[in-house]
Amino acid sequence: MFPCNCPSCQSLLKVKSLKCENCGTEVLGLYELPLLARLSPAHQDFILKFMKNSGSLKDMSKELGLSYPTVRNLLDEIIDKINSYEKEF
Amino acid sequence: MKKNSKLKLLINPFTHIAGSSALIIGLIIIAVTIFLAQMNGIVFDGVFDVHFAPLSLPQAFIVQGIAFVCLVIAMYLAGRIFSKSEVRFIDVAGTLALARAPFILAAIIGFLPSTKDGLALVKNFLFTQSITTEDMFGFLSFFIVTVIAIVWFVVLAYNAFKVSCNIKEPKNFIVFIVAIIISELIAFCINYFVVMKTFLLSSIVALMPSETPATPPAELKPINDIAIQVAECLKDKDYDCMSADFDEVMKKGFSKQVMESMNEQLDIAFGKFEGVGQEVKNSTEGEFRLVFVPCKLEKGSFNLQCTFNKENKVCGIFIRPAS
Repeated sequence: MFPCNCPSCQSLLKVKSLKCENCGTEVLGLYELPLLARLSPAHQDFILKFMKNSGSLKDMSKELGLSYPTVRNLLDEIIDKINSYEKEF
Repeated sequence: MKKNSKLKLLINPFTHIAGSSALIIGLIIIAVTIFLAQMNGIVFDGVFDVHFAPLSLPQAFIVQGIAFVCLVIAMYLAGRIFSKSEVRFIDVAGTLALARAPFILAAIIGFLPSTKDGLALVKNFLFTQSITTEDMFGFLSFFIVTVIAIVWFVVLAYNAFKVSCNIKEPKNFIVFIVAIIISELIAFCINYFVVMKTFLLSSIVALMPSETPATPPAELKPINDIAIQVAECLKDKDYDCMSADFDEVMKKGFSKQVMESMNEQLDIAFGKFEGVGQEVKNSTEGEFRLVFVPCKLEKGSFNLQCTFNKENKVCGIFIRPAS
Protein backbone atom coordinates (compact mmCIF):
# COMPACT_ATOMS: atom_id res chain seq x y z
CA MET A 1 0.00 0.00 0.00
CA PHE A 2 1.10 3.52 -0.85
CA PRO A 3 2.43 5.01 2.43
CA CYS A 4 0.36 7.96 3.61
CA ASN A 5 1.38 8.37 7.25
CA CYS A 6 4.78 8.83 8.84
CA PRO A 7 5.98 5.50 10.30
CA SER A 8 7.60 7.43 13.15
CA CYS A 9 4.96 9.93 14.27
CA GLN A 10 1.91 9.00 12.12
CA SER A 11 1.58 12.51 10.69
CA LEU A 12 0.35 12.85 7.12
CA LEU A 13 3.17 12.48 4.60
CA LYS A 14 3.71 14.90 1.69
CA VAL A 15 5.30 14.18 -1.65
CA LYS A 16 8.81 15.60 -1.84
CA SER A 17 10.21 14.17 -5.07
CA LEU A 18 8.86 12.85 -8.36
CA LYS A 19 11.19 11.25 -10.90
CA CYS A 20 10.99 10.79 -14.68
CA GLU A 21 12.25 7.35 -15.63
CA ASN A 22 12.61 8.37 -19.25
CA CYS A 23 15.04 11.28 -18.94
CA GLY A 24 16.06 11.19 -15.30
CA THR A 25 14.48 14.55 -14.44
CA GLU A 26 13.61 14.90 -10.78
CA VAL A 27 10.92 17.29 -9.61
CA LEU A 28 11.37 18.43 -6.04
CA GLY A 29 8.83 20.17 -3.87
CA LEU A 30 6.34 19.53 -1.11
CA TYR A 31 3.09 18.37 -2.55
CA GLU A 32 -0.06 17.35 -0.72
CA LEU A 33 -1.05 13.73 -1.23
CA PRO A 34 -4.19 13.45 -3.35
CA LEU A 35 -7.12 12.64 -1.14
CA LEU A 36 -7.97 9.49 -3.09
CA ALA A 37 -4.43 8.20 -2.62
CA ARG A 38 -4.99 8.14 1.13
CA LEU A 39 -7.69 5.54 0.84
CA SER A 40 -6.90 1.85 1.34
CA PRO A 41 -6.29 -0.29 -1.78
CA ALA A 42 -9.65 -2.01 -1.23
CA HIS A 43 -11.46 1.35 -1.14
CA GLN A 44 -9.59 2.63 -4.17
CA ASP A 45 -10.50 -0.54 -6.04
CA PHE A 46 -14.13 -0.06 -5.05
CA ILE A 47 -14.15 3.51 -6.39
CA LEU A 48 -12.63 2.38 -9.70
CA LYS A 49 -15.24 -0.35 -10.09
CA PHE A 50 -17.95 2.13 -9.12
CA MET A 51 -16.85 4.45 -11.93
CA LYS A 52 -16.60 1.65 -14.45
CA ASN A 53 -20.16 0.58 -13.54
CA SER A 54 -21.37 4.13 -14.16
CA GLY A 55 -22.26 4.58 -10.52
CA SER A 56 -24.76 1.71 -10.52
CA LEU A 57 -24.80 0.01 -7.14
CA LYS A 58 -26.97 -2.71 -8.62
CA ASP A 59 -24.32 -3.61 -11.18
CA MET A 60 -21.63 -3.33 -8.52
CA SER A 61 -23.44 -5.82 -6.31
CA LYS A 62 -23.62 -8.29 -9.18
CA GLU A 63 -19.93 -7.84 -9.97
CA LEU A 64 -18.78 -8.15 -6.36
CA GLY A 65 -21.22 -10.93 -5.46
CA LEU A 66 -22.56 -8.91 -2.54
CA SER A 67 -26.04 -7.75 -1.67
CA TYR A 68 -27.20 -4.26 -2.63
CA PRO A 69 -27.31 -2.90 0.95
CA THR A 70 -23.81 -4.25 1.62
CA VAL A 71 -22.44 -2.42 -1.42
CA ARG A 72 -24.31 0.71 -0.41
CA ASN A 73 -22.87 0.46 3.11
CA LEU A 74 -19.35 0.14 1.67
CA LEU A 75 -19.94 3.26 -0.40
CA ASP A 76 -21.20 5.12 2.67
CA GLU A 77 -18.10 4.05 4.56
CA ILE A 78 -15.86 5.50 1.82
CA ILE A 79 -17.91 8.70 1.73
CA ASP A 80 -17.50 9.08 5.51
CA LYS A 81 -13.74 8.53 5.20
CA ILE A 82 -13.41 11.12 2.42
CA ASN A 83 -15.46 13.61 4.44
CA SER A 84 -13.17 13.11 7.45
CA TYR A 85 -10.09 13.60 5.27
CA GLU A 86 -11.56 16.80 3.85
CA LYS A 87 -12.23 18.12 7.35
CA GLU A 88 -8.56 17.62 8.22
CA PHE A 89 -7.62 20.06 5.46
CA MET B 1 -11.31 -20.46 6.60
CA LYS B 2 -14.07 -22.25 4.64
CA LYS B 3 -15.63 -23.42 7.91
CA ASN B 4 -15.57 -19.84 9.19
CA SER B 5 -17.23 -18.50 6.06
CA LYS B 6 -19.96 -21.17 6.26
CA LEU B 7 -20.59 -20.30 9.89
CA LYS B 8 -20.67 -16.64 8.94
CA LEU B 9 -23.29 -17.36 6.29
CA LEU B 10 -25.48 -19.12 8.86
CA ILE B 11 -25.35 -16.06 11.12
CA ASN B 12 -25.23 -13.31 8.51
CA PRO B 13 -26.14 -14.31 4.95
CA PHE B 14 -27.34 -10.79 4.23
CA THR B 15 -24.00 -9.54 2.94
CA HIS B 16 -24.72 -11.76 -0.05
CA ILE B 17 -28.50 -11.81 -0.29
CA ALA B 18 -31.07 -9.10 0.39
CA GLY B 19 -33.89 -7.30 -1.40
CA SER B 20 -36.52 -9.05 -3.48
CA SER B 21 -34.68 -12.37 -3.81
CA ALA B 22 -34.38 -12.64 -0.03
CA LEU B 23 -38.04 -11.67 0.33
CA ILE B 24 -39.25 -14.36 -2.09
CA ILE B 25 -37.15 -17.11 -0.51
CA GLY B 26 -38.05 -15.91 3.00
CA LEU B 27 -41.80 -15.83 2.31
CA ILE B 28 -41.71 -19.33 0.85
CA ILE B 29 -39.91 -20.63 3.95
CA ILE B 30 -42.38 -18.80 6.22
CA ALA B 31 -45.35 -20.28 4.36
CA VAL B 32 -43.96 -23.82 4.53
CA THR B 33 -43.13 -23.34 8.22
CA ILE B 34 -46.66 -22.16 9.07
CA PHE B 35 -48.20 -25.02 7.10
CA LEU B 36 -46.06 -27.70 8.77
CA ALA B 37 -46.49 -26.19 12.22
CA GLN B 38 -50.27 -25.85 11.97
CA MET B 39 -50.54 -29.57 11.24
CA ASN B 40 -49.38 -30.17 14.82
CA GLY B 41 -51.25 -27.31 16.43
CA ILE B 42 -48.20 -25.03 16.59
CA VAL B 43 -48.59 -21.36 15.66
CA PHE B 44 -46.29 -18.34 15.48
CA ASP B 45 -48.52 -15.62 16.90
CA GLY B 46 -45.85 -13.03 17.61
CA VAL B 47 -42.48 -11.74 16.46
CA PHE B 48 -40.64 -14.54 18.23
CA ASP B 49 -43.52 -16.48 19.81
CA VAL B 50 -44.15 -20.20 19.37
CA HIS B 51 -47.30 -21.63 20.94
CA PHE B 52 -49.63 -24.56 20.78
CA ALA B 53 -53.04 -23.28 19.68
CA PRO B 54 -55.94 -24.87 17.81
CA LEU B 55 -56.05 -22.29 15.04
CA SER B 56 -57.14 -22.98 11.50
CA LEU B 57 -54.60 -22.65 8.68
CA PRO B 58 -55.91 -19.23 7.54
CA GLN B 59 -55.80 -17.99 11.14
CA ALA B 60 -52.23 -19.28 11.53
CA PHE B 61 -51.22 -17.35 8.41
CA ILE B 62 -53.02 -14.22 9.61
CA VAL B 63 -51.38 -14.11 13.06
CA GLN B 64 -47.92 -14.66 11.63
CA GLY B 65 -48.58 -12.18 8.82
CA ILE B 66 -49.59 -9.53 11.34
CA ALA B 67 -46.49 -10.19 13.45
CA PHE B 68 -44.18 -10.10 10.43
CA VAL B 69 -45.64 -6.86 9.10
CA CYS B 70 -45.32 -5.22 12.54
CA LEU B 71 -41.66 -6.27 12.71
CA VAL B 72 -40.83 -5.01 9.22
CA ILE B 73 -42.57 -1.66 9.70
CA ALA B 74 -40.93 -1.11 13.11
CA MET B 75 -37.46 -1.91 11.76
CA TYR B 76 -37.97 0.18 8.61
CA LEU B 77 -39.14 3.21 10.57
CA ALA B 78 -36.24 2.80 12.99
CA GLY B 79 -33.86 2.69 10.02
CA ARG B 80 -35.39 5.75 8.42
CA ILE B 81 -35.16 7.72 11.67
CA PHE B 82 -31.72 6.71 12.89
CA SER B 83 -29.73 5.87 9.76
CA LYS B 84 -27.80 8.35 7.66
CA SER B 85 -27.87 5.95 4.71
CA GLU B 86 -30.59 5.24 2.20
CA VAL B 87 -32.87 2.55 3.69
CA ARG B 88 -34.92 0.53 1.21
CA PHE B 89 -38.11 -1.12 2.42
CA ILE B 90 -37.48 -4.13 0.21
CA ASP B 91 -34.10 -4.74 1.86
CA VAL B 92 -35.60 -4.57 5.36
CA ALA B 93 -38.53 -6.83 4.42
CA GLY B 94 -36.39 -9.30 2.49
CA THR B 95 -33.68 -9.74 5.10
CA LEU B 96 -36.20 -10.05 7.95
CA ALA B 97 -38.23 -12.62 5.99
CA LEU B 98 -35.12 -14.72 5.53
CA ALA B 99 -34.23 -14.24 9.20
CA ARG B 100 -37.38 -16.21 10.15
CA ALA B 101 -35.99 -19.38 8.53
CA PRO B 102 -34.87 -21.01 11.84
CA PHE B 103 -38.50 -21.34 12.94
CA ILE B 104 -38.87 -24.23 10.53
CA LEU B 105 -37.02 -26.26 13.18
CA ALA B 106 -39.85 -25.61 15.64
CA ALA B 107 -42.36 -26.68 13.00
CA ILE B 108 -40.51 -29.91 12.24
CA ILE B 109 -40.04 -30.91 15.90
CA GLY B 110 -43.83 -30.88 16.20
CA PHE B 111 -43.92 -34.09 14.16
CA LEU B 112 -42.26 -36.04 16.96
CA PRO B 113 -45.04 -38.17 18.50
CA SER B 114 -43.97 -37.26 21.99
CA THR B 115 -43.95 -33.48 21.49
CA LYS B 116 -46.14 -31.93 24.13
CA ASP B 117 -47.69 -28.60 24.77
CA GLY B 118 -46.07 -27.22 27.92
CA LEU B 119 -49.30 -25.65 29.09
CA ALA B 120 -51.24 -28.91 28.76
CA LEU B 121 -48.42 -30.68 30.56
CA VAL B 122 -48.56 -28.23 33.46
CA LYS B 123 -52.35 -28.54 33.70
CA ASN B 124 -52.10 -32.33 33.69
CA PHE B 125 -49.38 -32.25 36.31
CA LEU B 126 -51.35 -29.89 38.57
CA PHE B 127 -54.37 -32.12 38.33
CA THR B 128 -52.78 -35.57 38.42
CA GLN B 129 -49.58 -34.78 40.35
CA SER B 130 -47.71 -37.03 37.93
CA ILE B 131 -45.73 -36.62 34.75
CA THR B 132 -44.49 -39.42 32.53
CA THR B 133 -40.96 -39.67 31.17
CA GLU B 134 -42.39 -39.62 27.66
CA ASP B 135 -44.27 -36.38 28.38
CA MET B 136 -41.17 -34.77 29.86
CA PHE B 137 -39.02 -35.84 26.89
CA GLY B 138 -41.60 -34.54 24.48
CA PHE B 139 -41.86 -31.20 26.21
CA LEU B 140 -38.10 -30.77 26.65
CA SER B 141 -37.32 -31.60 23.04
CA PHE B 142 -39.84 -29.03 21.84
CA PHE B 143 -38.62 -26.46 24.36
CA ILE B 144 -34.91 -26.83 23.48
CA VAL B 145 -35.45 -26.73 19.72
CA THR B 146 -37.74 -23.72 20.04
CA VAL B 147 -35.22 -21.82 22.15
CA ILE B 148 -32.49 -22.54 19.58
CA ALA B 149 -34.78 -21.32 16.80
CA ILE B 150 -35.67 -18.13 18.65
CA VAL B 151 -32.06 -17.27 19.55
CA TRP B 152 -30.90 -17.96 15.99
CA PHE B 153 -33.75 -15.80 14.65
CA VAL B 154 -32.83 -12.88 16.93
CA VAL B 155 -29.18 -13.05 15.79
CA LEU B 156 -30.25 -13.16 12.14
CA ALA B 157 -32.75 -10.34 12.65
CA TYR B 158 -30.09 -8.16 14.25
CA ASN B 159 -27.70 -8.76 11.34
CA ALA B 160 -30.54 -8.13 8.89
CA PHE B 161 -31.23 -4.81 10.56
CA LYS B 162 -27.52 -3.95 10.67
CA VAL B 163 -27.03 -4.60 6.94
CA SER B 164 -30.29 -3.14 5.64
CA CYS B 165 -30.28 0.01 7.79
CA ASN B 166 -26.54 0.67 8.31
CA ILE B 167 -26.71 2.31 11.71
CA LYS B 168 -23.38 2.61 13.53
CA GLU B 169 -22.63 0.64 16.67
CA PRO B 170 -23.54 0.75 19.53
CA LYS B 171 -26.63 2.74 18.53
CA ASN B 172 -27.80 -0.01 16.15
CA PHE B 173 -28.05 -2.56 18.98
CA ILE B 174 -30.15 -0.30 21.20
CA VAL B 175 -32.41 0.76 18.33
CA PHE B 176 -32.85 -2.89 17.31
CA ILE B 177 -33.84 -3.99 20.82
CA VAL B 178 -36.35 -1.16 21.20
CA ALA B 179 -37.83 -1.75 17.74
CA ILE B 180 -38.26 -5.49 18.24
CA ILE B 181 -39.92 -5.02 21.63
CA ILE B 182 -42.31 -2.42 20.23
CA SER B 183 -43.17 -4.65 17.26
CA GLU B 184 -43.80 -7.62 19.57
CA LEU B 185 -46.12 -5.56 21.78
CA ILE B 186 -48.08 -4.20 18.81
CA ALA B 187 -48.33 -7.64 17.18
CA PHE B 188 -49.50 -9.19 20.44
CA CYS B 189 -52.21 -6.55 20.92
CA ILE B 190 -53.49 -6.86 17.34
CA ASN B 191 -53.45 -10.66 17.35
CA TYR B 192 -55.04 -10.85 20.78
CA PHE B 193 -57.90 -8.45 20.07
CA VAL B 194 -58.47 -9.39 16.45
CA VAL B 195 -57.82 -13.09 16.16
CA MET B 196 -56.76 -14.84 19.32
CA LYS B 197 -58.97 -13.37 22.03
CA THR B 198 -61.60 -16.06 21.94
CA PHE B 199 -59.02 -18.81 21.83
CA LEU B 200 -57.05 -17.43 24.79
CA LEU B 201 -60.14 -17.11 27.00
CA SER B 202 -61.24 -20.64 26.28
CA SER B 203 -58.05 -22.58 26.40
CA ILE B 204 -55.94 -21.12 29.19
CA VAL B 205 -58.27 -20.36 32.10
CA ALA B 206 -61.20 -21.97 33.81
CA LEU B 207 -63.89 -19.36 33.52
CA MET B 208 -67.34 -19.33 34.99
CA PRO B 209 -69.99 -19.90 32.38
CA SER B 210 -72.32 -17.15 31.30
CA GLU B 211 -76.09 -17.51 31.66
CA THR B 212 -77.29 -20.90 30.60
CA PRO B 213 -80.58 -21.69 28.91
CA ALA B 214 -83.07 -23.86 30.83
CA THR B 215 -83.25 -26.51 28.12
CA PRO B 216 -80.64 -27.08 25.47
CA PRO B 217 -81.73 -26.06 21.97
CA ALA B 218 -81.94 -28.85 19.43
CA GLU B 219 -78.78 -27.84 17.51
CA LEU B 220 -76.54 -28.53 20.59
CA LYS B 221 -77.78 -32.04 21.15
CA PRO B 222 -74.88 -33.73 19.39
CA ILE B 223 -72.25 -32.10 21.64
CA ASN B 224 -74.37 -32.76 24.72
CA ASP B 225 -74.47 -36.42 23.77
CA ILE B 226 -70.73 -36.44 23.20
CA ALA B 227 -70.07 -34.77 26.57
CA ILE B 228 -72.27 -37.29 28.40
CA GLN B 229 -70.47 -40.09 26.58
CA VAL B 230 -67.08 -38.67 27.66
CA ALA B 231 -68.24 -38.66 31.28
CA GLU B 232 -69.62 -42.19 31.01
CA CYS B 233 -66.35 -43.41 29.49
CA LEU B 234 -64.38 -41.70 32.24
CA LYS B 235 -66.57 -43.51 34.79
CA ASP B 236 -66.01 -46.83 32.97
CA LYS B 237 -62.27 -46.08 32.60
CA ASP B 238 -62.56 -46.68 28.85
CA TYR B 239 -59.89 -44.40 27.31
CA ASP B 240 -60.55 -45.33 23.67
CA CYS B 241 -64.21 -44.52 24.05
CA MET B 242 -63.45 -41.30 25.96
CA SER B 243 -61.01 -39.96 23.35
CA ALA B 244 -63.10 -40.92 20.32
CA ASP B 245 -64.25 -37.31 19.81
CA PHE B 246 -61.06 -35.52 20.92
CA ASP B 247 -59.37 -33.12 18.52
CA GLU B 248 -55.73 -33.76 17.55
CA VAL B 249 -54.24 -31.49 20.20
CA MET B 250 -56.27 -33.17 22.95
CA LYS B 251 -55.29 -36.63 21.71
CA LYS B 252 -51.65 -35.63 22.02
CA GLY B 253 -51.98 -33.93 25.39
CA PHE B 254 -54.51 -36.22 27.12
CA SER B 255 -53.03 -39.71 27.06
CA LYS B 256 -54.31 -42.95 28.60
CA GLN B 257 -51.87 -42.43 31.49
CA VAL B 258 -53.37 -39.01 32.16
CA MET B 259 -56.89 -40.47 32.22
CA GLU B 260 -55.81 -43.24 34.60
CA SER B 261 -54.14 -40.68 36.87
CA MET B 262 -57.30 -38.56 36.79
CA ASN B 263 -59.40 -41.54 37.83
CA GLU B 264 -57.02 -42.37 40.67
CA GLN B 265 -57.25 -38.83 41.97
CA LEU B 266 -61.04 -38.85 41.72
CA ASP B 267 -61.15 -42.14 43.66
CA ILE B 268 -59.05 -40.63 46.42
CA ALA B 269 -60.92 -37.32 46.57
CA PHE B 270 -64.51 -38.35 45.91
CA GLY B 271 -64.67 -42.12 46.22
CA LYS B 272 -66.29 -44.49 43.76
CA PHE B 273 -67.83 -43.03 40.58
CA GLU B 274 -71.56 -43.69 40.97
CA GLY B 275 -73.25 -42.10 38.02
CA VAL B 276 -73.45 -39.48 35.27
CA GLY B 277 -76.40 -37.06 35.18
CA GLN B 278 -78.29 -36.35 31.97
CA GLU B 279 -79.28 -32.76 32.80
CA VAL B 280 -76.35 -30.98 31.23
CA LYS B 281 -75.79 -27.21 31.13
CA ASN B 282 -74.48 -25.28 28.16
CA SER B 283 -72.44 -22.15 27.68
CA THR B 284 -70.31 -20.41 25.08
CA GLU B 285 -66.96 -18.63 25.18
CA GLY B 286 -66.33 -16.94 21.87
CA GLU B 287 -66.27 -19.58 19.17
CA PHE B 288 -66.09 -22.40 21.71
CA ARG B 289 -69.07 -24.19 23.25
CA LEU B 290 -68.99 -25.58 26.78
CA VAL B 291 -71.02 -28.47 28.14
CA PHE B 292 -71.20 -29.19 31.88
CA VAL B 293 -72.07 -32.79 32.78
CA PRO B 294 -73.01 -33.46 36.41
CA CYS B 295 -71.14 -36.42 37.86
CA LYS B 296 -72.05 -38.13 41.13
CA LEU B 297 -69.46 -39.93 43.23
CA GLU B 298 -69.60 -41.73 46.56
CA LYS B 299 -68.34 -38.79 48.64
CA GLY B 300 -69.32 -35.83 46.49
CA SER B 301 -70.06 -34.52 43.02
CA PHE B 302 -68.54 -32.32 40.33
CA ASN B 303 -69.27 -30.99 36.86
CA LEU B 304 -67.21 -32.33 34.00
CA GLN B 305 -66.70 -29.42 31.59
CA CYS B 306 -66.14 -30.39 27.96
CA THR B 307 -65.04 -27.61 25.58
CA PHE B 308 -65.99 -28.08 21.92
CA ASN B 309 -64.57 -26.45 18.81
CA LYS B 310 -66.48 -25.69 15.61
CA GLU B 311 -66.04 -29.24 14.35
CA ASN B 312 -67.80 -30.59 17.49
CA LYS B 313 -64.51 -32.06 18.70
CA VAL B 314 -63.49 -31.97 22.33
CA CYS B 315 -60.62 -29.53 22.75
CA GLY B 316 -60.59 -29.26 26.54
CA ILE B 317 -61.70 -31.14 29.65
CA PHE B 318 -61.88 -29.63 33.13
CA ILE B 319 -63.22 -30.67 36.52
CA ARG B 320 -65.46 -27.95 37.99
CA PRO B 321 -67.08 -27.71 41.40
CA ALA B 322 -70.73 -28.76 41.42
CA SER B 323 -72.97 -25.66 41.41
